[in-house]
Amino acid sequence: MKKKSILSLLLALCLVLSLGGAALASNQITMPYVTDAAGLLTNEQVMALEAQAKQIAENYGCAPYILAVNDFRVYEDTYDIYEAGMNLYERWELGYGPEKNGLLLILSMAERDYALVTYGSVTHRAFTDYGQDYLYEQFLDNFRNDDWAGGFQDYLNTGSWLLEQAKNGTPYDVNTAPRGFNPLIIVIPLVLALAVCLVLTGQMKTAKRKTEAGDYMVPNGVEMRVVQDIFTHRTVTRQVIQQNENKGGGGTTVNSRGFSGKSGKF
Amino acid sequence: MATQVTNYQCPACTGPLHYAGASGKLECEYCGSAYDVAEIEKLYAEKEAAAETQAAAAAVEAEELGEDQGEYTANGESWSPEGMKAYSCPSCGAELVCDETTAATSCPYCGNPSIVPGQFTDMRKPDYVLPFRLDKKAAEEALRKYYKGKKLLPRAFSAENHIQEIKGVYVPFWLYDGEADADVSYAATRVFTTTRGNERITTTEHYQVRRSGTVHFEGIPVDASSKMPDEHMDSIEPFDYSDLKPFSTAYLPGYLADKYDEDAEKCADRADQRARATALNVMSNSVKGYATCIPTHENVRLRRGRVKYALMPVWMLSTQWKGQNFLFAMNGQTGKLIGDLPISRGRLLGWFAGISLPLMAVLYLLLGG
Repeated sequence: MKKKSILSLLLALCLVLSLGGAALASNQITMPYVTDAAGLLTNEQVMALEAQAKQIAENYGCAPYILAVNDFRVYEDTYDIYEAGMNLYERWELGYGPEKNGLLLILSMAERDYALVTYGSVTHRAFTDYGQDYLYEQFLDNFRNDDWAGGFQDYLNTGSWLLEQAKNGTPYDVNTAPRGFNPLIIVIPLVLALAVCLVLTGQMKTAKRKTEAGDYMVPNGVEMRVVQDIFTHRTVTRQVIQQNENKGGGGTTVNSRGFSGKSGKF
Repeated sequence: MATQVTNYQCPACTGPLHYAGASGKLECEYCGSAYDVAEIEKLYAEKEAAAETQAAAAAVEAEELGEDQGEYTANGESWSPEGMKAYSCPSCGAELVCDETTAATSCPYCGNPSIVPGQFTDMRKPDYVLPFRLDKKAAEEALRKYYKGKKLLPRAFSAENHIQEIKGVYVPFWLYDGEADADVSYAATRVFTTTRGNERITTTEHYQVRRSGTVHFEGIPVDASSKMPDEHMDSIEPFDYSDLKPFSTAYLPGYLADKYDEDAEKCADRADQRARATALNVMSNSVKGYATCIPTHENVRLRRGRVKYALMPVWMLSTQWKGQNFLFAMNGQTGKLIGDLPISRGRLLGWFAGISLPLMAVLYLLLGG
């Protein structure tokens, strides 16, 4: 554990030195916003993303971080990339301002894992659960196609847009998100119109061959000889009732450490 | 050679008599007299017998002269009207040719209602006749109403087809009595569901169910005329048999009448199929209280009973529209009317668009804004 913490610190130091004096502020080590230890980006791309992230942090008081590594387990003694993200966020004292508002996107290339951890009230207000899902949709498709720069760009652009929505007083959430085109708008009218037309068409074809003769049964003309119901056996099946998570209320789910976010594969 | 024709003449003024369904009497449209069927039957029994004798004598004479019945000579060429029958109108003397299965008709020149004699003598005579209860006016009105509610009917159709050409026809039917012995086994289940903790427990009880019994039928109707579409005749059922009368030609004047050209044996299959399906349904309906019920064994044995031959009252209109033939039929007793109608594509599209487009707009405002 100790060894891994030292490695983590060395990584941070290397990253700071690679950025020269810009990474130093006062007496405290200031982490860069973009750290590409996996070699996914060119220097120009790193510089551009760094500048954009810095601008976002200053505009909205929420720092967006990018960390690309070959294997996150080298830096944290855990198999959970989300937990690793929270640990790194705390250890490196990431975030903007005293409240440490920010979000960290980690890409681990060994098994193509990703995690997004968000922290701070400003961040949680902007990055609701619904907003986070929207954010994943924007960058995951790029990463799945090995479009690293495009994915990070989408991450920053969408993050910036979500922060802007929150700043304007309407965070992107279940009830405030602009709704996409609902296919039911087309399907329901077509089905209803078809049903009505079928009924109207049916009125035009009334001649049908009869297959039964119920009208011609003699009154009381049914004699039942055998009415037998024999129980043969019983079968029992058991099914565990799935408890559905209620995500319909909107807002942001925050864990006991004050983080929100998600992890997965890309 | 033309066959002698019987028509019922008014004893008071000798005008033609029509059977009027509303009054149930034979009425004279000239002097307004009305007579009971039995009264006229009695008066004309002798006359009809004489006419048949005369027809037989005429046939013998024709044979001796080397002429075949129903064969004419025109401009030196021979014409054999196969399947046709010739007769002369007793009112105006016109020489008429009709289908050999036509038993009653009216003269197109003078409108005189006539019975073509001999039509019920060389084949089985009908056992019963169900007299018309609804008159032509009611049939025309019913057809107009039938057109009214139809949103997809082309406007020109109802205007162009001649409702007044609707004709009352006595359609020959076989009425089959019989029994169906059914023995059916089913695999049935009852399902109970309870919840215990976070488990849903489903208990299924399996039963072997058997039903066996006899279903009695009386008068399953099958139309005996190949000219009548089965679908149309089936669809105007049921007929109320309590009004069946012993057959008499006195009910026929004023209407067309056909005799059967499909015998009772040929038509029996359709009655059997209907009896079999109904017997299975009766057995199935007696199995109650189960969640599922699937037949595993079905055995139906049919016992055919008496077959009655009856003439049923049907108002019919056959009309052409854009090369297609449309036939309407109305039960002359109950007024049940059926018939396939042409569909206007323009109206169909109009309805489809008229419903779907505004609804899309409303839903877009509600869901997609």
